[in-house]
Amino acid sequence: MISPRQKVEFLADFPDDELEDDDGELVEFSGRNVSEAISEMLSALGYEVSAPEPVGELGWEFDMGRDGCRFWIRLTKIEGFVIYTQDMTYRLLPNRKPYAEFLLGLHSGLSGDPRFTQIKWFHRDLPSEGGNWFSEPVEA
Amino acid sequence: MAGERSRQGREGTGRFGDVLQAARDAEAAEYEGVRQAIRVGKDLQLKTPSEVLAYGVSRLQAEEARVAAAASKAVGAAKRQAGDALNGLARDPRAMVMAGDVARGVGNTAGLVRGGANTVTGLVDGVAFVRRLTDPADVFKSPPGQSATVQLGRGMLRGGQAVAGYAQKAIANPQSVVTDVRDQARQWRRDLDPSATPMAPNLEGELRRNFDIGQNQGELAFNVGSLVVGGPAAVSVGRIGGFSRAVTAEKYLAQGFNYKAAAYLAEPYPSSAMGHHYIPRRTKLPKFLGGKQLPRKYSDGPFNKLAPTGITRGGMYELHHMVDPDFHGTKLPARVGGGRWSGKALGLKRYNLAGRIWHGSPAPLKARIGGLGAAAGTAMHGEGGGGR
Repeated sequence: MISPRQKVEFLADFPDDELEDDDGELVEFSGRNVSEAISEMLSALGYEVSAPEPVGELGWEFDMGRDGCRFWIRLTKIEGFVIYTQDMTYRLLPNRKPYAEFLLGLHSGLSGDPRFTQIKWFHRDLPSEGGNWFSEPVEA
Repeated sequence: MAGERSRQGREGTGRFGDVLQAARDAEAAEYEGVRQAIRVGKDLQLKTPSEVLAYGVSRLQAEEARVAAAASKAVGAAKRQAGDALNGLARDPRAMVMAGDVARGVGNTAGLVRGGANTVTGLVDGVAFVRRLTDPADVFKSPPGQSATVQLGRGMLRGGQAVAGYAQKAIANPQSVVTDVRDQARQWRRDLDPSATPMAPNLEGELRRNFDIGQNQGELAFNVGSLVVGGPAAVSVGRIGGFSRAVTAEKYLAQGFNYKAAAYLAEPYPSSAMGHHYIPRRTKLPKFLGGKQLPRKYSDGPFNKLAPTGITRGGMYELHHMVDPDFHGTKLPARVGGGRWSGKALGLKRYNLAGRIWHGSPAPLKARIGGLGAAAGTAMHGEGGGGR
């Protein structure tokens, strides 16, 4: 039974790209550059990736599809970065294999890029706040 | 308000200006009436997510049509009434009474609008605070030392705030409150009862007097109605607003944020901000239903987006954290010193499933379907039950 872990916390060695207007009001929260790097990473794996969309204090969201499946990502900067994922594919019967492949691809991309470090997958509480974490995105 | 005055200036003052303004206010009141009607809930048999979505979209479309028709009718009626009042009533006292009735009726409608407008012009901070003060569970729901009662006490000790000062005065001299209430009651009677003040010497003055009284009555009706309905902070207690903001900022200081961050968190949460989406924005319909995302009009509309009127940024973050297992926190802007807002670091507890269903659904949705469709939204948040 495949058991995917939906969330991952990590550090990203990217400049803070938070954008403010002339009045000091926040126009874009941090994370566009990290979202774009992850988007490119997944595109290289054959996923058709949408452009990252800013969602205020929640960060950035984008989704991706391959072989009739659709997955969603939200990237939020808190102290480090947190990615939330969800399998958005409509299916008549449950099939977690494509989602597991997606998570493993994402993990492989993050692990293979030296800008991303301390990659910790988790279910509930943030690892940086004492939550349980795992080094792999899928429990086989 | 400034725009309103300049519009009046352009289009004339006096009775014709009033009539034009009243017609506009009447139109706006129809919109407000529709908004208020949302609070009158009824049970609907909505068993599937698609039924909930279809219902929400159909309501929006139906309301658009209804509001357009009703507003047009209301404007026409207001114009006819005002025209009748102005044409041929002259200085006849009986006619002036009739004209006064008409003006008061139009004023009632305008007052309802004014009541709504007052509510959203920063006065709700005070309401939220008063509601916390009167909520016996507030002390349990607030972090240690941050209940409204404790904050009020702290504010009184610091002095300098009107409400805290008044509370101190009331404690020291209870008779002063009785006097204030009696004076206020007299003023209310003058404001609300046409017989409490003499009839004006001419038609224009009488129309103005009755229009003003009508507005006051309408505003009172709005406020009382809001209290009865128990809507989200819909009664105006403006004097308390500034005090409330001050104690709110103090709450964030006590949570360990610096002054700039505390002030930032005490700011009103922008209505254009993301809030929490009951059915997530990411939700797409199945291919056999078109495969598209939900219409933004529905997704970001009052049935789906949770961002209560008057809530602060910090308040919204707290609410979001408690209703959405996927919202752990966010980064604070560099201009306030950066750092993070974290629900767990503040010791906030998340609601259980029932709490997420109830507190995570916008008030209009709750009112409309009484929570029956809640499971649909919760299911669409996936395993974690979160979303935005």
